[in-house]
Amino acid sequence: MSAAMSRKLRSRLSLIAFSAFILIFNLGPILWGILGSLRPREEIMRFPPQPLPSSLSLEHYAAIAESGFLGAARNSLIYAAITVVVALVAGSIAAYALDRLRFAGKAVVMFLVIAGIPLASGAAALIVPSYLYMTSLGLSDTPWVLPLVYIAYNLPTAVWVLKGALGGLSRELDEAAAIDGAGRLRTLFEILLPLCKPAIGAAALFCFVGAWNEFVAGSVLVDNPDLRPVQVSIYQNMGYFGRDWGPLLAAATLAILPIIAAFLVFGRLLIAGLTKGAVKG
Amino acid sequence: MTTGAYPAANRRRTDYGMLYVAPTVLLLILLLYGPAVSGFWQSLFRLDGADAGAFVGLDVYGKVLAEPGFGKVVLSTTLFVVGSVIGTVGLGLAIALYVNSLEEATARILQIGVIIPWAISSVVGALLFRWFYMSDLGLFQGMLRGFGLPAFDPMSTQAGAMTALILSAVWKKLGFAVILLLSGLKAIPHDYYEAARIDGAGAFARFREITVPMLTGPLLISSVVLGIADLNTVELPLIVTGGGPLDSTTTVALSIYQKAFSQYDLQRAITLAIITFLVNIVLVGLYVRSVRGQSE
Repeated sequence: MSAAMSRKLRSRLSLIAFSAFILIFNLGPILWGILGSLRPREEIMRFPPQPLPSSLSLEHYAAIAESGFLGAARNSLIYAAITVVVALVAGSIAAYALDRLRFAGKAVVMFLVIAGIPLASGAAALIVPSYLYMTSLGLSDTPWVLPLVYIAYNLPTAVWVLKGALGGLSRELDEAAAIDGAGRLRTLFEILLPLCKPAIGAAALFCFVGAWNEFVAGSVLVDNPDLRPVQVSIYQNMGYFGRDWGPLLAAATLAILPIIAAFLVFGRLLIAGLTKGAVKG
Repeated sequence: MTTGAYPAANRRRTDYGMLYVAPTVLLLILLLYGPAVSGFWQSLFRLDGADAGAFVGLDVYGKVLAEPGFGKVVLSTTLFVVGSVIGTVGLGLAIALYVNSLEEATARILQIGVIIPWAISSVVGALLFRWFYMSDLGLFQGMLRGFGLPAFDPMSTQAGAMTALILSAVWKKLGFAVILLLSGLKAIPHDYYEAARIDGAGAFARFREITVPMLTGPLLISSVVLGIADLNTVELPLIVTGGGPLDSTTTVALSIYQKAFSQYDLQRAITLAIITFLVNIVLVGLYVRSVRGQSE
């Protein structure tokens, strides 16, 4: 075998080994969980575990549907949709001002936005104060409290991503629009934003994922089962189903479906947005 | 910026800027910064009991800091945060270096592969991690047996539980570090490596003299962001280990959560929360500085 061929073979082998490592270490728990959710009940409990299910069953999905999971999923979809819309509208106008206009206090606003990105993931430190704060405002256990909190948590990231995109657009666009008699907001919404669709997609995705995945605030700020978000429902089911893994895996699978779907559509946008570096961990 | 191509448009009516950022600023102040400030204020008063509302100042802080449990929480939090950050950034750097050497299409598939655990929720991630790696019904223990290794229960020892908790955090956040470090690697001009190679620098010397210094920004940002996330994660200790055995994996985040919402000791919880918040502020300050350094 020639030296070039053996080098090629070696690099191919190392690629396969590395891909296997990624698959097992990173995706193993997810794939194993999805497979588990489809196994018949007695097979999940069989020891030692079999790699592939002998037959597929939807019994766990039926069990989880009866636990109130679907209502919680619907709540979270609504919370996430509100978060996306408000964060994108408020965020794009703010991003425009921070990128294009000069005004007093701009540096302070910039600081509030940048510091807000990591601060929003400081859930543990913020949750007890937030709980007392929201209770004193009479907002705890209302339909408004979680959308409001999720908007505040995700708005800084949205502003940052959108500001980055607007900064990449030539200011001649603004001038041309001004000559045509367009005001600032019309310039922003009709000329500039249509040119930053990838950034809008990335910002929307971050907001959606952030709201859909949130647990701590959701578990504390609402008590009414009708307002419960999806992650809290899964956690409570862990107490309810205990070692009966099947329904839990079905709930987990349903909860990651929107994320996986969003990734297949927007994966590249998300990676591009992450590359900006200003994202929660 | 002072005398640009169209100064008139920008110089006049600067109050528009304030108006445009107003909704964002209001939302952030009322909902993100407001609770933090009011939390500190409230921590200075008695929150419950017969003398609720009485000013106690920093008394509770002194009491909480002096409790024997406090040292234990600080120790397990430090072990968890430092271990997870080093593990995530170290492994993330290794993978980023490898992915950087691959062709575009393969690299993109691998990036999406590593980022998926980061994108799913911590609750689901912790549940699936336990199911796959820790349960005796999971595939990992089965594979260990297949290789002739003894299956083990990580929860049977304190060190095992801490290792499992750290690994769950590394697994969950690895993709974030990979993507961030990869973009840092891509930003290093190829000429630098060429020039060093012509000067006779070996692979390790090139890594140490070019890659590491050029990557300081992304390494710092990812470490800080991961540090904040790990310091504040409630879900991972709550679900992966439940804080045990013997509170050995009860980090400060879990401790606050349990004190406030299962033991209803709001006073201690808010005091611990404010102490944690101060640590957060230091990390956020570091973050803001490194992000500003990056974008200039």
